[in-house]
Amino acid sequence: MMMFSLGGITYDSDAQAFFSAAGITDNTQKNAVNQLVLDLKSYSIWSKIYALYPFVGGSASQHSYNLMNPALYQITWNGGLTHNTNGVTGNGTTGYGDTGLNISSVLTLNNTALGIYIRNNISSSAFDIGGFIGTTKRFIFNPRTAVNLSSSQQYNTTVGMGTLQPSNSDSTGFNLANRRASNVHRVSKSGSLLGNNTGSGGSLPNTNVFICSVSNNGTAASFSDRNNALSMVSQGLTNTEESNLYTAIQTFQTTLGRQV
Amino acid sequence: MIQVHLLTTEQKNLLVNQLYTDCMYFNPVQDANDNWFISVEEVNNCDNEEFMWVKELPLIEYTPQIPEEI
Repeated sequence: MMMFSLGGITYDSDAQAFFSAAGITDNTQKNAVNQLVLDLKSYSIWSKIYALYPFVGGSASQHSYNLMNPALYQITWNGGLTHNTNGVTGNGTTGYGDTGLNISSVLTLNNTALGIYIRNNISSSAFDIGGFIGTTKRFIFNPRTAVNLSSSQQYNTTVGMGTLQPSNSDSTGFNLANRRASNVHRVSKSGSLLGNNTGSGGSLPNTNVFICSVSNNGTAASFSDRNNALSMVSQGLTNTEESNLYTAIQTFQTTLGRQV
Repeated sequence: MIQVHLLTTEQKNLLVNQLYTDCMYFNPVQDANDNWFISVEEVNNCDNEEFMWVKELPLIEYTPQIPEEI
């Protein structure tokens, strides 16, 4: 872990690479991101993450960069979205981001997780992240459906098999959908387990992960109007890693003054 | 009531794959009546001189397509 020192401030090399790519100059934002990187590494979670978008800086360009590797999976933003210091907010009609991260090419079946930090409480049929093809190739997540369920589809639509949907009447917080084995599927919010099951089914779709929407075989569908302050795609996580991840992310959001 | 801006098919074709502002592309979508539209956010935030005509587009009520059960 190389550290860069400039004027007495020492930053992790991966954090510095992100600052340079995204043009992050605000010291509070830099310190928050740097600490997030350090925490994820100290918890041994860093190497499990494919893409993490901290949505700092406030602009569409700055929000497009992947903290894990700014040269990989840069988001292409489409439609009506609001970018500011609270992250990115969908408009519910046309707005979404294409990460360029192809689900079936990059991820491994039964070893996947999706995380989203939502700052407002909205009950909606809209899914906030992922992609799908038909009913048997699903990788999508809605933290609060129109009937107050947190719906994780990894990897088909059969409830109790590839779909886990525990009750949830509040979409705010860090929502994590974690499929770490064929018999382990968990949904948690702000570090607390909402539900789990042991069933499985389906496969990974050959389509990209979208944000503020989902990819329906390449076409954006289900546009969200929630405020998204961080999004993540990773390998499956242990229970301890789930807890540590939430701690790291909540510390990050609190430093920025946008925690919920 | 959500409002959106109505496009003709020809106008839609002009906007596909085009930026309306830095790092953000237009995304025309069809509604339940097969009308093409873009959002008020895309119109209000458009600063691309080539597409300032979108600010003259008429407003209509947003009527979403019956969503496929996801």
